[in-house]
Formats: sequence, structure tokens, C-alpha cells
Amino acid sequence: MTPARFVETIQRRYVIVCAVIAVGLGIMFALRNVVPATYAGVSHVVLVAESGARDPSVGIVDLPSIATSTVVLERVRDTLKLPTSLIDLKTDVSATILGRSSIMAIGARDKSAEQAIAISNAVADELSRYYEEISTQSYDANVSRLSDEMRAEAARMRAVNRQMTSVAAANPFVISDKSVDDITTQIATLSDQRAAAVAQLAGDRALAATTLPNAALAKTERHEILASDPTYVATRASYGNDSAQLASDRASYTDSFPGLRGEMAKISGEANALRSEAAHAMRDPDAYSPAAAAGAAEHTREMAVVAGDEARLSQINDRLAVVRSQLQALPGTGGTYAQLSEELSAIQTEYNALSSRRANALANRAEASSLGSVVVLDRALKADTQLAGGRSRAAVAFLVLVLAMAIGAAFLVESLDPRIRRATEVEELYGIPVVASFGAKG
Amino acid sequence: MKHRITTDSHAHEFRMLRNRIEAEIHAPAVLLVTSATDRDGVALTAYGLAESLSKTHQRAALVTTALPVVNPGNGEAQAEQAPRRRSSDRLGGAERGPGRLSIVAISPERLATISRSNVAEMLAELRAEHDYVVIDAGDLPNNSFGLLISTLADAILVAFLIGRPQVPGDRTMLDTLERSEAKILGVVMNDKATIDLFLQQSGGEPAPPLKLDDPASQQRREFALNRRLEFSRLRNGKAI
Repeated sequence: MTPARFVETIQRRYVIVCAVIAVGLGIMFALRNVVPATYAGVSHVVLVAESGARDPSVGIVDLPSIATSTVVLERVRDTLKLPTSLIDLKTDVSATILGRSSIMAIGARDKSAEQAIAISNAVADELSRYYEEISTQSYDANVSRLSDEMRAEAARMRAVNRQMTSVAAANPFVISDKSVDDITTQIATLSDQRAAAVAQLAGDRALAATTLPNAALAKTERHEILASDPTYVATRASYGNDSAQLASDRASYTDSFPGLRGEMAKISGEANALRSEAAHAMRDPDAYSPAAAAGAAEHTREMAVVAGDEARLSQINDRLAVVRSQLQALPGTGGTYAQLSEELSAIQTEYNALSSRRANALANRAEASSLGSVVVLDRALKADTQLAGGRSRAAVAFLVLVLAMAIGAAFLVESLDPRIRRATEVEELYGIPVVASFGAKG
Repeated sequence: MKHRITTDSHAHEFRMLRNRIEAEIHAPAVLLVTSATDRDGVALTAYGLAESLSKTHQRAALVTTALPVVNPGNGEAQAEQAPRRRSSDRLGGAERGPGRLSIVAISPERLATISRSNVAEMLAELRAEHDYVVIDAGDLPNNSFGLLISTLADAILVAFLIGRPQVPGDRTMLDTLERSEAKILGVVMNDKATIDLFLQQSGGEPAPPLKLDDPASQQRREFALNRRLEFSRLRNGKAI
């Protein structure tokens, strides 16, 4: 089939060609009004991979399958709360790699333009997330397992620490490496403190003894009480005056003086009254002696100091007894503590190893995540009207189909036409060459 | 009333055909123009070729059984539509026209009584008096004159109507040509408009329309296949 023959055939059968095209265009316009319009939203994603590094889990050729996978579409459907079935959604979503690039177009069709845009963008976003998931899936499992093991080791460490704390509380000296020396030093210190406390107690007791009531204090107390009693003082003054009068009278008179007896009887009566008043004053509950009060306060203070000394001494004695008991128990608790300490050290070593491995796993995960990722390059912003996969595209495709059918019909009629028009056909018919042609080409 | 015969519009093609014939067939020679049907433009081909030959050779003759009266003159062939002159009173006697092309028309009545010896004698005389004798033999399957000439001619040209379907006469003609010892020069393709115009100007009748529903066309495919096989055999075995 040469171009000239092609053109010749089309020219000869132009009526058929035009008829088929006219019918086809009529059908196209009829379908355009019958078929409801759909809308298509298209977003673009790009696979970003660090060149020369370790390959990511999946490549660009896998992206269309992942984008239209049930996992991604199920999440999109849940996210957008789409009422469509998964099968319908899978039919309406398409993913195509653009040439040999790393860019993939994600198209979504829907009767709603907004829905088409939303689905397209949601698929792109979910694809990006899901790609990261499957890229780091193995690392996530490893990190999770290591984290579980670290939590178990931490629990063991806390248990051992509690046991060690309990042992150390019972015998604090087990913490030290020179526990015996520490204990003996402690005992010596406590002994010194005890000796000092005993001496202090003795001194304070002696001082307190000096503040006990005595004869001199009792005399001063009696004098201050009686001196503060006005009756007693008045009686005593009267008694003194009368006694002075009697002494003067005796110096002036003989014993036979008659006034002496009366004076002597008066003085005797005043003496009795004076003793009676003294006894009364001393028995008075309100009787007060500043010296006696000061002495009592001093004694009380000194006795308090003595009590404090005794308490301190008692405490030192108790402490000394405890330390001595700890010294005796040191061989047993020390062994237990050392064993717990070794166990704790082993657990810490294991914990540190797990922590290191988990850090490496996290680093690898981060590396894997950075090596390959799907980035949303271009989000769908507007939706194109479509008719059976794109109104314009469908129109063009239908037009091409109509043209092909028209040309095909022309050649079909041509092939069914028994008339011989070309030299080659004549040569095939007769088996002899065509030497001239009048009015015919080829 | 005179009409210019429109072979001038194809003068170049006839000149090329003439050059080819002159190169392959040396004078004196008898050239037979025939076809499988009576619509293939044998007269057009024969006349155009004879006229073209007459332009370079002093002696060229056209023997026709179908062409109306033709009066060539001054190097251009012309035809008179009327009165038709059947100048075949003396078989074998060629009438020399006013130009370099002599035309001999044989009436149907004469054709009915013509014999091989008469034809041979006529051709001998024509060959002696002319360099090239072009014979319009009509359609070969239905023409006894053509059958006779085919055994006596030096070369044969086959006319073919462009756009006609295959007919049983094609097979018959090919069988006849295969039995002939003459050199098969090739096929001259004519379109219907040119033939009709030629016949109209020369006083003849336009060719009837093609009968596409001819039962013979039912055999076309089978026949074409056979011819294709033969053609392929010729290509492989002989130089065409």
C-alpha cells in the first residue's frame, strides 16, 4: 500500500468515508447527551530515592500497584467515608507512570468534581504514608522487639534495686567497700561520744544537786515570808518596844517593882502572839519568797539538762548496740548485697547493649525512610469533565475510531469491488507487463 | 462536419509506446491490437499507435474491422462522422490516405467470408508496402479475424479497459495468445472517458456501462489466482 494508492482509494470512496464520519459524529453527539458526565482529578507523586544508596523496599514500577491496592484504597475510603464499594473505587482510581520518569499520575473519577479531587489527593497522601510504612516495616518490628526487651530489663533492674535498698537499709555498711573499717570507726566514734555524754551527765547532775533546798535557803525563805507579813512585823515591833521598855524598867527598878510583872506578862503574851503569827504566816498559801522561787527554778532547769544528758547517753548506747550488731551481721548481708550488686551490673550491661541495638535500629529506620519516599508533587486542584474516561479524550478517541472506521469501510468496499484499475492488477491478471496507460495512473 | 480525434491529448504516451515498439520490433512488421472484450479500447489503441507511427515512418497502415471512416491528414488523424465509407471492396488492397497513414477498413460482411489465405495475402501486400501495419482486430474471443491475424502477426498488443471486472474472455484471450508465436508486447490500459470520446469523435458508439453483476465476475477470484500463479511462473522461469 503506497501513499498514492491510499489517497486514490480514499478519493474514490470519499462518499463512503463522509457517510461513515457523519454517522459516527451523530452517534458521538447522541452519546454525549445520554452518558452522564464524570469528573477526573489528577494528582502527581514522585518517588524520591537517594542514588547510590541502599535500594528502598519497592521501586517506581511497583507504585501503580501500591496506589491501587486494597490497603491504600480501603484507608482512603475510611478517611473520606466514601459510600462506594472497594471494587468501584478500584475501578475509578488509576495510576500511571509518566514515561521513564519517577513521576506517577494518580487519577480519580467521580460524578462529583470535589469528590474526584479529594479521592485523588487522598490516594496520593495515603500512598506516601503507606510507602514509608512498608519501607520501614522490618525496622519497626526490630525496634518494637528491642523496646520490649529493654522494658523487661528495666523492670528487673528496679526489682534488684529494691532488694539492694532493703539490704542496705538493714546494714548501710554493706554499701561501702571497707564496711568493717567503717563499722569499727563508727563504734569508736560512738564510744567517744558516750564517754563525753557520761561526763556531761555527771557534771550536770552535780550542778543540779547544788540547787536542792537547804537550811540557809529555808532561813532566807522564812525571813522573806515573815518580813512580807505586816501583822507579824507589827507584832514584832510591839514586842520589841515592850521588851525594850521592860529592859529599861529592870534597869531602873528592882524585881520587886510591881510593874515588872505586868510588863513581863505582856511581853510573854506578845511573844506567844508573835510565834503564832509566824506560824500563821508560814502556813499562808500565798506566802512568797523570791529567793525560794529562784532556787526552785534553777533546780528545775538543771534537772532538765540532766534529763537531756541521760537521753543523749541512752541514744548513743542504742546506736552503739546497733552498730555492734551490724558488725556481727556483716558477713551475711554483705554477701547478699554483693550478689545483688553483680546481678544489677549484669542487667545494666544487657540493658546498655539493648539500648545500643535499638539506637542502631532507629538509625537504620531513619536511613531507610530517607532513602526512599513518595512525595506528593502536585495536588489535584480542579477536576476535568470526562465522558467515559475524559470528555475531550473520549471525543478524540471516538473521532479517531470514526476515521478509522471510515477508512476501513472505504478499503473494505474497495477490496470487494471486482473492477480492475491498477497496472499491477492487470499484470497479475494477464501475466504480461503494462506498456502504456491512457487515463490511468499506476 | 469533422472532429479532431483526441489522441493528441495522449500523444506523449503514444510516442513512448511507439518508441518501445520500434526498439523491439523492427520494420516491416505487423502489429495486432486486440483485447478480451469489445469495450477495452482496441480501436483507440490501434489508431493512436498507427497515427504515432505514421509521424516517423513514411509508410504506416491501419487495418480496422470496427473503426468508422477515418481520414488522416497532415500528420493528424481525422475522422468523418458521415458518410461512412466501407472501403474494403478489394480484400488485401490497402487504401492509402492523404497522409502517411493508410487505413484499411474491412466490413463485417467481408469478415464473414474471409479466409486465412486471403488474410495472409493481404498482410503480405501490406508488409511490402508499409513499414508498420497496425491491425485493429477487435475482441479476440469473439472475432475469427483476430484469431487468424494472431497467428500471422509479428507482435501483439492487448488493450484493457480501466475499471472493468475480469471476464471469461480474458482466459480465452490468454489461451489464444499463448498458442500464438507472435511477440507479446504488453498491455495498454485505456480509461472509459478517453475511449468514449474517441468513439464519439470517430463516429462510433460509446462503450456500454460495465456490468459489475456479470456472472463472470464470480469466477474472477479463481481466475485471478490462476493468472497470478502463471505470472509468478513466468517471472521465475522466463524473462518477461
